[in-house]
Amino acid sequence: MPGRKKSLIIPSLIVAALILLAAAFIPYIRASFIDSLHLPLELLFAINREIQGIVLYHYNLVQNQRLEREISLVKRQLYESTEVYLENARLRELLDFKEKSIYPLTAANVIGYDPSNLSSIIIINKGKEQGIKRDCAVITNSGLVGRVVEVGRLTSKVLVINDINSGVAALIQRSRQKGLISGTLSRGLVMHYLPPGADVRISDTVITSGLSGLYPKGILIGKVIKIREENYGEMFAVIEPSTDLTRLEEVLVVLPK
Amino acid sequence: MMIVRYYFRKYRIQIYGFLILLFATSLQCTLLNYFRIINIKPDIMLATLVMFSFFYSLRCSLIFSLLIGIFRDVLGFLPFGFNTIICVLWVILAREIFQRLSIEDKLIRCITLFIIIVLNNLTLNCFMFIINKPIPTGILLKVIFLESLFTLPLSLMIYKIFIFLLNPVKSPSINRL
Repeated sequence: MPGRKKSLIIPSLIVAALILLAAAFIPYIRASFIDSLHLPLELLFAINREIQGIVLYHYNLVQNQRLEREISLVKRQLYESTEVYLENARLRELLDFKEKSIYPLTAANVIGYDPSNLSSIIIINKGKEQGIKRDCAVITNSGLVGRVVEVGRLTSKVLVINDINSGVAALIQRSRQKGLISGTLSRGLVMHYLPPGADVRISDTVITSGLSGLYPKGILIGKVIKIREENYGEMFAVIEPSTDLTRLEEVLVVLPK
Repeated sequence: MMIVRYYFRKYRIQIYGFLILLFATSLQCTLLNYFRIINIKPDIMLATLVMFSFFYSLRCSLIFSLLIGIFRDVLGFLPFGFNTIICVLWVILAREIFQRLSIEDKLIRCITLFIIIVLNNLTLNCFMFIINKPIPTGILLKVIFLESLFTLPLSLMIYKIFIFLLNPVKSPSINRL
């Protein structure tokens, strides 16, 4: 019956509009909702990790053997670089340089992802109580992950750098050429605004430039894998991120000083 | 205990629907991310939403659509309320399509779901364009094509789950179209 249908549709839409209005005036409504989902999401993710361990057993075994070989190689490189570090420290002392401060970090587990395919958001299990604030950078041991965009009491949302709306001020480590990295919702990133004839090569390392103030300077982003020309001679580079942004489980949040 | 059993029997269908909703939401946010292909995962929340519109009365399916929309808003990053409103609209649209077209069941459900997925992504793109964060056309087309390709086979499985749990022949309270 159309009359009955109308009487149900209009109240539903009114309720939905009220929710929308409430959210506009109460900015923390979503953060409070996510905080209440904190424990179920953590439990689900723990179950999820166990299932993943069973399903990916062989993959993990092969990965483990490869990583053991890499560890022994890295250990050797560490010994060599320790020598360089000590020499550097002595020289800095001699020249009376101010030491770069190491930023404070806190580890967090990823407990959920954005349900949509048109954005790249992760939910972590740390929030205001652990000192996290909006726009804190999020990294892993291998490189940059993104920044915090919403903070609740116990959880936070992180905008990953492969999201379309993400922008990271970056530079090529070798040539110090600056550019802006944006996401493509896939594994690769794109570095825009490279001038014609920019000194960029395949396998160049890309790091954060620290210009925007959002990300500390010097965090590894990835490596250049392709270079192309855009309109009017401007170039762009395709970057392979150093971190696997599609399989994040644990991250480190850079806390404000 | 008797009271609990009484209310469980009385609202069994709605309870099952709520559990399916929770299961779909938890899968969408956790496990499905490991089964991405070309970084696209199926949207089983949307598929579940469309199934609600086929198996439940208008009132129930609107309530469930509100819940799904709220969950999507809470877990996403768009302005709160966007998904809440459009999920309600998709339920109404799905019911209208299913009522007006009278050919084979499964085909209609698949076509309806495909239309909803396309419209959902296009609406999202329009909204992102309005708030000055447009999605590049190539990425949008890739998402639309692959999301519908991955979601449609899963929707048949979700349909079987609905049939198994809800058993509409024996449950006259379900308004089956």
